[in-house]
Amino acid sequence: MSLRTDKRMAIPCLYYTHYTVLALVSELSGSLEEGCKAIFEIGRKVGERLRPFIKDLSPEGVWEALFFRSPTRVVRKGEGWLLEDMECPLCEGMELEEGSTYCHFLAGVLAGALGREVEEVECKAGGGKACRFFIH
Amino acid sequence: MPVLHSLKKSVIRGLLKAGSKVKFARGKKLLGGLVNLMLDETFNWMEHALGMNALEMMVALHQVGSR
Repeated sequence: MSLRTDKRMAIPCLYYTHYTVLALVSELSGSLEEGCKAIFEIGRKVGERLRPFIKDLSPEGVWEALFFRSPTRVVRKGEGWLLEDMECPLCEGMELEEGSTYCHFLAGVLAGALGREVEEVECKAGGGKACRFFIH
Repeated sequence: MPVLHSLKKSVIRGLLKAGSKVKFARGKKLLGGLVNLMLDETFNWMEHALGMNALEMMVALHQVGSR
């Protein structure tokens, strides 16, 4: 992860808080699957609260406002976009089962901020080369 | 609404108004704001979806955090 010195405290704080919150909501929901759904909805609410304060409401603009850098790639796909980031701050270093996704909170934040449905289709934690979010 | 950790709108607005041209100092606070909002909405979810009160939330957080 290429971070400037100053950023090293902020991103781990997000990373560990997210990890703890996901563990908490999964336990309270009764399963990891339900926990993932719950944290997506929590993310959506966060995105909705941030939306009025973000100037550029394009996928790149929202990502830049959140992480002060552009995502690796955004590609137009039909009516939607595919947003790809190879240095996702939520799942860096996580290793889950092949094909699993982990960044449900981030998908929720994007959904809330953009006012669209967002789905994480591939995750670095599940063995992907990048985290990929399909924005419908 | 359980305001265990609330953010004033003016604070968030201040953090985000620079939009995509945020400088680092502002951006660091913005990430802090994202963390605070995550916690705030988690507490809201615990209250509305599970009917938990503030004490129960603290106990649950403590249990997860102490593992």
